[in-house]
Amino acid sequence: MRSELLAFVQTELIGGKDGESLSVEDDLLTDELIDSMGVMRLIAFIEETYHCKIPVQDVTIENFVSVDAICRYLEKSDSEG
Amino acid sequence: MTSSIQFLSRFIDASAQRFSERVAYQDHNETISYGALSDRTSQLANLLKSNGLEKGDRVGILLRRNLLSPIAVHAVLKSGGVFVPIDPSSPPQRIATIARDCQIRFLVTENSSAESVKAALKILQTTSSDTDFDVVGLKNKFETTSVKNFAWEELAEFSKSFPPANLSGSDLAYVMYTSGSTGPPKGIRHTHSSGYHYALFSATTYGIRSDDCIGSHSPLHFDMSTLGYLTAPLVGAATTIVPAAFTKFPVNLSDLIESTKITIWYSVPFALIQLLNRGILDQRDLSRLRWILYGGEPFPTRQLQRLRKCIPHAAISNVYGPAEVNQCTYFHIPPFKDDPDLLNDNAAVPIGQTWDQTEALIEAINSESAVDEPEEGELCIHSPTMMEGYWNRPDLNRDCFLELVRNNGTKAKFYRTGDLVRKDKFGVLHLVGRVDRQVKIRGHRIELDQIENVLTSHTNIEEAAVFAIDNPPDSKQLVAVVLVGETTGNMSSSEVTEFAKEHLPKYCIPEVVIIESELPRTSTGKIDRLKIQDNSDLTNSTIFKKASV
Repeated sequence: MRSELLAFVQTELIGGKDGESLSVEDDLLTDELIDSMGVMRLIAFIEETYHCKIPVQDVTIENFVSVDAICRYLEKSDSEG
Repeated sequence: MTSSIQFLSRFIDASAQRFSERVAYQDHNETISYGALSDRTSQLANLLKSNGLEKGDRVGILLRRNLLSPIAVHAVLKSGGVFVPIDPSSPPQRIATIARDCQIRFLVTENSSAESVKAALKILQTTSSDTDFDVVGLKNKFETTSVKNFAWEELAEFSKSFPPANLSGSDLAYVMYTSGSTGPPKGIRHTHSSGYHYALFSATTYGIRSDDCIGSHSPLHFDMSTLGYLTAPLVGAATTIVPAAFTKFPVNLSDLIESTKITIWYSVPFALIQLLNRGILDQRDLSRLRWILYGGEPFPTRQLQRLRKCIPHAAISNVYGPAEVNQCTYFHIPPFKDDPDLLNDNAAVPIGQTWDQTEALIEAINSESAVDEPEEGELCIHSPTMMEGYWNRPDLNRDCFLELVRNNGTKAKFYRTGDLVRKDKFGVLHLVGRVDRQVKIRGHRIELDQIENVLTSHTNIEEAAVFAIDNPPDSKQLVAVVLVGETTGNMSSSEVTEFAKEHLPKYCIPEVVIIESELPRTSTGKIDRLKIQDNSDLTNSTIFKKASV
């Protein structure tokens, strides 16, 4: 899941930025690596790929700050769901 | 008029004398008091001055939405310099273009922009000599010796007092660059007098007091940021600077409004629509929020009515005015609880009336015979809040102003807004559209903005962008891109066309309708119509597919 998400963020959302390589811990939000449309595309990608629906109250900075944070959130909600 | 002005350079110290301990600026985890801000701005002003800054020198500010930004703005003003906000997400080429255009002497920035700053300097150094600048805010010194860098930590070595700069009202205070999506960016020159009058008029129009907290959603390079950066320190109010990450996560944003006790909110409509759709507002205590200001673009009326119902105790105002005049008109909408039936879903909210000391003139366009006082035409504004002119652009300055001799013989300079307005029988102004958003198709004069108004009156359409594309040999073709939201129902393009047919004359019905669930935005949150237009794939009825992301 981590590599799949990392690849999506890197190529679809950040793509073209000098080919810098992104790590799972990199902060996607503070330095504005992805914009608000990027956030929505990311959510749509996750919901489609992992057949889940992310509740509105879970779309937070804490859960989406990095690829690592997203994976931790998805694993947690999967084990709870 | 300039005899009684207060200089922007003295706002912080004046408020610090009255409210030293009170919060001046805050975000989700930090605050800075007026007293501390007075000290920090003096230190930075001393650093700049001791390294050669002179009155009128331009200082670029390349900072994200954080608590360094008010320090930078008010230190530059204090030192007698001119601040020039630059979007931190700009490519190095744009940073270099602005730096060269207004000959920036210093750039105040932070470490996360180090790569962009270095790349911009490299562009300047290879294209011309003598245009580079010194830097404040990076951690490491430059390897080359020609550019100096001072780390933020070095401020501690400078004195916390700074003698007031000797200024006059006509001295330049800041230069705001327009997005320049249709050409090179244009620098709007504002003086201490125009900035002061904006701060004064906005404080009186919205009754802003020292116990208010302003929610500042706009980035510094967008003119709507002046409410937080200029008006708040004039009256000693607090400002919550909304960090960029919060603008993308409505759940966190609504939490910030509650936790920092925001009383006055100012943003583009998009931010408020996001809050309505995904901000879990029903779980927040927004009882302190007393006035919501929006501007930058029209607010679809149906969405605005949703906002009124959701926060029934808050007044709402439509703020209108191009950055060239700061602001010039307002329309107050009373709280929903006081007047629930005020808005009609199908009618756009007026831009209202001019504010203090401001004259509006409507100039007829495309008119065959001269009319003394036309009811519809281009809005021209004369106000003490208006700009001096564009930086270094005598060509634009010749065209953008209208020189008039009034009946009493006095002369006045009016700024042409480029907006078409209509004055109703009560003297209230209504926005009809942009002069350049008026197109002629097969002989019919069409206002693209009015087609958008009609489309967004449908309950399933959140926002719409309509444009005309060349379609030889049949002149032009209308294309509508509509945003169908997740909170509304689904809608097909033929249903949109049916709806348009019911409400619009035949020649106004878009021939192509593209349904999207998201729209590209500018860095300030407005719909990016140029990007939509450039990236539309009409054959497959979609946008973005042609975009090289």
